[in-house]
Amino acid sequence: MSAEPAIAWDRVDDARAAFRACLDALSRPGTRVRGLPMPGLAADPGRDAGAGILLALLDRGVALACDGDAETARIAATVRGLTGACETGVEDADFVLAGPGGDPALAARARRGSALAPDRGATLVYAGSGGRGCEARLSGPGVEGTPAAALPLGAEEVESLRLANASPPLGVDVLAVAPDGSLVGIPRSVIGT
Amino acid sequence: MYATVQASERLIAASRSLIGAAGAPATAPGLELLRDQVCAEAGVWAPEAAARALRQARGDVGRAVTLVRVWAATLPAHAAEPCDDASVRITRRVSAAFADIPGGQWLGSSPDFDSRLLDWGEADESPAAVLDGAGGAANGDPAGTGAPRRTALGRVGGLLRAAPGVGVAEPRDPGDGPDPFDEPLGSNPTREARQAALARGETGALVALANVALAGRREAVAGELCVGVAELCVPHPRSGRPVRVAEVPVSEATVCGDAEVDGTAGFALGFGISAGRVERRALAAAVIDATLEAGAPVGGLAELPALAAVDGLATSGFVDHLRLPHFASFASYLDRVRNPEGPR
Amino acid sequence: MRPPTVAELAARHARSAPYAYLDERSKREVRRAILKALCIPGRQVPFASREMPIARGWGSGGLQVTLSCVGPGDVVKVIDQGDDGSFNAAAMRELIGSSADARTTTRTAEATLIQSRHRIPELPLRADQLLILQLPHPEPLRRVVSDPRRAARLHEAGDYTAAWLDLYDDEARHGAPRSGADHPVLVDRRALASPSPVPRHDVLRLSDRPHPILLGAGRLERIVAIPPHTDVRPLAFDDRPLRPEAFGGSCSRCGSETSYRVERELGGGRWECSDTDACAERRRGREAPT
Repeated sequence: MSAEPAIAWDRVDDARAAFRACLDALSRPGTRVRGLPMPGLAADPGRDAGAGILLALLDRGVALACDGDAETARIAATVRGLTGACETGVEDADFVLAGPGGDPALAARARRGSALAPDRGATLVYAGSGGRGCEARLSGPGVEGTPAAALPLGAEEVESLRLANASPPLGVDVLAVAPDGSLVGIPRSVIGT
Repeated sequence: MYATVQASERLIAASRSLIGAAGAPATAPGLELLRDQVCAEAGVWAPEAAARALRQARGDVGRAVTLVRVWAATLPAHAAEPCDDASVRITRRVSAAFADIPGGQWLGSSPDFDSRLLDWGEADESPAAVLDGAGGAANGDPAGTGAPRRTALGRVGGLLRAAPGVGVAEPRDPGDGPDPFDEPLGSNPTREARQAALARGETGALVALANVALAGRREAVAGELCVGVAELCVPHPRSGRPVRVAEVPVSEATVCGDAEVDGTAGFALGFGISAGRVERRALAAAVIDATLEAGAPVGGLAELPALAAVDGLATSGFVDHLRLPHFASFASYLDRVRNPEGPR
Repeated sequence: MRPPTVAELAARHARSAPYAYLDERSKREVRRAILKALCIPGRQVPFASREMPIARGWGSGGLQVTLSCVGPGDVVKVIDQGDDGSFNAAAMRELIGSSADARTTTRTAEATLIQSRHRIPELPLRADQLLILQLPHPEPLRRVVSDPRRAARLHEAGDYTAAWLDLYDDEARHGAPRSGADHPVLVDRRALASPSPVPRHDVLRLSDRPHPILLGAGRLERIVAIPPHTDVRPLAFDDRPLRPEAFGGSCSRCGSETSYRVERELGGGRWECSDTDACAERRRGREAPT
């Protein structure tokens, strides 16, 4: 078990920076947003940036699940401890931290909300995917035209997302962190068809 | 004279300094607006009685209003001369509909510049200071010299009526009966009677009904909000000439609401008036009046139930009455529950 | 000398005000709602509104959105019906600027965050700018369906028949919708939303913008978001397009014949741009390139 790196996280400024990065990423799906703050919770920059996103957004009363290897579980547990978020299974989670070795069909199991409350659909944070990546066509709000976007996700994950988001407004939304710590946002509104 | 309020510090400072009676420091506000509210709801302008009633009622506004009303009912009544625009001196007049209105906008002592942050600074908390405060005199004349009479300013409602291409709903007949304060509302109240009921309405009820009414409107804008001091006169017992006996702060508002007029989009003008300087009361009453003039229900209520809902003495009394013994009547319903007639 | 009360101790030893007025927990609540709202454009996302030192109904929702987004590197502009100088706009600009240690401006072109009551700025906005609107009535069906729970069911079913019938009624009997501002819009061809009480002139300028628009309703505790490049069209029959407002003259200050103008005095004949900064820009002869 590796020693935990020292955490360097300003609850005000770093949280805001992470939030603004997510806002930019989800406003312009498929584009790469850089400059995410690194809390120093993980050695791998991709995983660390993902941890920062969760530190910025989670709270008591918010449910975080994880899906992936032991390091993913460790980061999720640390984030829960620091934010007060509670642990649940994937089906009940508001946020899911997805890491290497996880289920490619994770999106099918996550909460998709309802037509009455589509905001209850979960947010999946993919981080630490290593070199995984594929091109996918996105179209919808925030996207000009129908470009092919380079997503730091595997093809199976993308396919699973398309299925999960096939009945708008239900769906799951994705914040995908690339190995270099940059962020791509994939709201359900652009990847259902 | 100026048009839209620009946020110059000088203007805001001037407005803030007008709080309270002329010459009194603005840093020692008392509960003068609460006194105004009690007077307005009781339909009696008597600030000292209101202060005394609030103390005796330990701050319970409904109870204080009852004390003042009951006390006033025991006093001999004199008929006063009707109070018209010529006897009202303006201390404040603003419009949210137009930047420029005939007569101009007068900022006066605007409640909007008061900070909404609780101030923990030093304050005189003796009971007298708290209740009477700097606004002890009801008729500080903050506008000073140059403050116009109401007659000099015209009415925004009149502007709309006269404007070409603008349809304004015909107002409900004001009625020409006896003093509506002395008469029951009846099943078909005149507009005058409606105004009287709203003028004495319980503040919370007025605001609540105005809110539900606003949610259903397409448009409702304060065409004019006017705060002034009205001179009340009674005929001298010997000479018969009008003698000024009181100066009563008065808030009035005209709300321009949407209405269907001659089959097309037009306006219904609502008028609200209240004794005292709690502007919210006049605005809320005007919204309710505009809604009724447009022929629309007030939050689903027809006119009579809406007016009944703002009758504070009746409503608070009836809620309080739940504390009285209901043993006999309750037993009757209990019997109905336990012994239903007919086959089970 | 009596001992201090608990309230006095709290006042004396209270922590200094948090960054951007709101505590971090409140900001997280608003931020989660904003991010989710961007993913379901036009749908109302509930959030727990906090007490603000401005009254509910005065833009407390828009203010909470701004305070949750603003950083010390931002430049903040606040307008009220197009005017930077209104006292409420000035009070909010002062609160945001001082509590967030951010620069403030009246120049649209300089701003990174623009909070607005009931106008879309006339000057074209850029992709790096964020527009935040104050939203008094988030429910576009409120006039035809008074019960919010029933309205929610209609949004659930995507059934906007009540709104279409109301519009048909107006068109058939009056030849046009009877509403002035706050004409409902369809976002992403799917969700019916209130664009906030902006005039029709602005409703027709909401579609396919380069920047996000966030709408905050503090009193009714909802956030709505419109991402960039999103289809936003007014609820209208194909053969009855929404007609913008007509004006009785060019701006008496800058001469514009295309801006949204208001008549200073009813029947006075003098029309002025409602967007004071855009008007000033034109007067300076330096219109931003379109």
